[in-house]
Amino acid sequence: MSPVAEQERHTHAAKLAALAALAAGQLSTTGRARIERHLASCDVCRSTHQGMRLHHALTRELQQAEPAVDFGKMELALRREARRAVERERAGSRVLPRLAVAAAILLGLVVAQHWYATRSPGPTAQHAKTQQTAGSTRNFTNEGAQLTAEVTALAGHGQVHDAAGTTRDLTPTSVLAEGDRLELAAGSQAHVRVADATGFVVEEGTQLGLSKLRTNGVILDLSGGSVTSQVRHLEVNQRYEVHAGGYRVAVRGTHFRVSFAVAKAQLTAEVSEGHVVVSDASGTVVSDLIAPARFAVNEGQRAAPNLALAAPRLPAQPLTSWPVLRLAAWPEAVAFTVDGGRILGGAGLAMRVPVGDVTLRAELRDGRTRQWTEQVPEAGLSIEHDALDRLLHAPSVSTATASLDASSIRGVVTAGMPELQRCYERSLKQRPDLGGRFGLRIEVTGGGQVRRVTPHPEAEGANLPDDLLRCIRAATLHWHFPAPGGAGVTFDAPIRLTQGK
Amino acid sequence: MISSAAPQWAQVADAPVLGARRGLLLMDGVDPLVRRAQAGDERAYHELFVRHQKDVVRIVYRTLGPDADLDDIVQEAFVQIFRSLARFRGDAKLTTWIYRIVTNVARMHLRSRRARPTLTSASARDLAIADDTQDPSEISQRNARLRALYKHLDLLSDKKRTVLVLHDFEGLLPVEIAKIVEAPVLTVRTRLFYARRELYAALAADPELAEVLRELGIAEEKP
Repeated sequence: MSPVAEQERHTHAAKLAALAALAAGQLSTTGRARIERHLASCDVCRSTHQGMRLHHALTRELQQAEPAVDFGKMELALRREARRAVERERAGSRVLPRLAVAAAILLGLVVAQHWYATRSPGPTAQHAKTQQTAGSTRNFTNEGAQLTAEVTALAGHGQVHDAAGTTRDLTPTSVLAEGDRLELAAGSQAHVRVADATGFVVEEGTQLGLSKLRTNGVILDLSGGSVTSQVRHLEVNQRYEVHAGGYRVAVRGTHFRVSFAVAKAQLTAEVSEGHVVVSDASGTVVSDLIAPARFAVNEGQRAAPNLALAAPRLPAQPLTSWPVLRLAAWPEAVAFTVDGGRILGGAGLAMRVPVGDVTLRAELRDGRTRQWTEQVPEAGLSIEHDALDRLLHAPSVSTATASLDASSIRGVVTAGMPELQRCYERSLKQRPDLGGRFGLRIEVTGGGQVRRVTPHPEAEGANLPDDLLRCIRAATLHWHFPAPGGAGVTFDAPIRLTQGK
Repeated sequence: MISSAAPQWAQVADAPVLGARRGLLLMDGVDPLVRRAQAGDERAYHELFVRHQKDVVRIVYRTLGPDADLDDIVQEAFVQIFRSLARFRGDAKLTTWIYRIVTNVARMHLRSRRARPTLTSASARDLAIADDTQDPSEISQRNARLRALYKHLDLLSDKKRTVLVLHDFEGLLPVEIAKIVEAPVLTVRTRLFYARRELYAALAADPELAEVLRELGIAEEKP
């Protein structure tokens, strides 16, 4: 029996107002004495008074607590949300008044219908309830704050269809939200950053829905085409999945590509690093892929040691203040490497880059490469077709050798040390005795991106705790080195862990 | 942390914050900041964020207790505020409207939390409110006591809990709460009465809390 029900068995209920006046010292001497006499003989009132005092004491404690919140963490997402709100507002203001009236009537009908359907008490509750209904699949929970994804590079053309039914062109400044749907035209490619060190490349002719974009998980719904993801290590309660053709490809920190051929209704999953699990609509695991491996429906699983998957361009910092670099459509180029990202060439390219010198590298159809540097001003830069054509007559850059000088390596490693320091400090909580020297073997692509990080096989680092290694790997995978060219370089970076006094 | 990529946001980081929470409901009027945001001034959104961030954190914390995932819920609340701002027509005061949205977001979170229990690390949460001036063991003890309080609050209905939080923890008047929860004042008072009665009984019957008054240095009630 609940305490309240037990209390109600007694002949009278406690007089809360009188007890509150007693607690607040608002009674006269006579009144106080009378209540205290009653308390001495009444279990119900004494118990209620005790509960009231506890409530008051705990309320005071609660009011003294000063919860800490990292506002910096939410700054980027909120800035994007503000921009989206402004864009929505501007789009709305351009609509003809006559259409606005019609839309208002329609909206009123929809809202009324929705209100009757949901009977929800407030606008926010209704909104959240709508979201829950829309995402009522088994893995689509409404927990976790929403993320917004950022297009970091775009080759060719694409469109975004949002949940409200509006369509807009994809641009290098596009911000994507949960519920958006991307469509890439033929010969196009988009690089999208979802969160720190996590993102994906959408290939040409792909239709991809961002079914879930939240801090506790990402679900990409692939209707057709191909998407290549790079995912940092996920926390226990986080997930990253690509759904396609009734299958789910779930990952826990890896680099993988999922393709879905609509005509053959065939799903293909390729994993170049890490581990993914493919399951069908009933949740039954049909393939457990440990890199390097490839799985295709009807063909099964096989090892695939020579996988070369596209890497999404994932700058470590927000791009919003960077200018836009545009390259005109130039059919002679197969791909460009700009600011650490390798992007499809040919169809025109637009991306945000830092102000100052930016090195561009073009891979031409005839197998030659051209590398040059552009000075990008704050207002941005457009490189036209004629200027690109002139590159055909420029001296060729050798691709046979790749090199990266020691000072460049040292500079990048030194700049990244604070991140490794945080990894070390976190691991010290689990293993206070952790220390010593170890080596990292770092493989850098021709474009300057880190392809792989492993502990040096002959160093003590081979015995590093898993969580420390994961953390270091996640941090180093988004380091950017000056492009060494060719097939890239591999080097060892010695690291020493020394405990403070 | 304000990143160098966002100077326009950084410039207003030190914008004055409105004063005591009691004063908030009186100071708004028709806020020109809202008009600026509605007119498409992106910076106004950030000023709104800076001005009300402490209020939002406080309401979320006091509604959900020490184990809430504050960062995520506060962000979600501001996302909802930004999305709804275009529809704000000044029928209610801005802070009343914000209170309403934040309370609803917290309530939705509460429902999903009930539907899907999760393990939380007490120690991690304890660290979240630590600062240099506070003794960690004291914070840990305080959070243990507050968890006991919220264990009993979790047994109240959403409506009663909301009213109790806004009245007893936030210090709002019933007439203000009535606007936030969109219910008559008499209903608010009734909910508050029953919420308190249930909570007092539950607190008094909890043996874990028997020591709390002594811990807090409050004299035992003479029988």
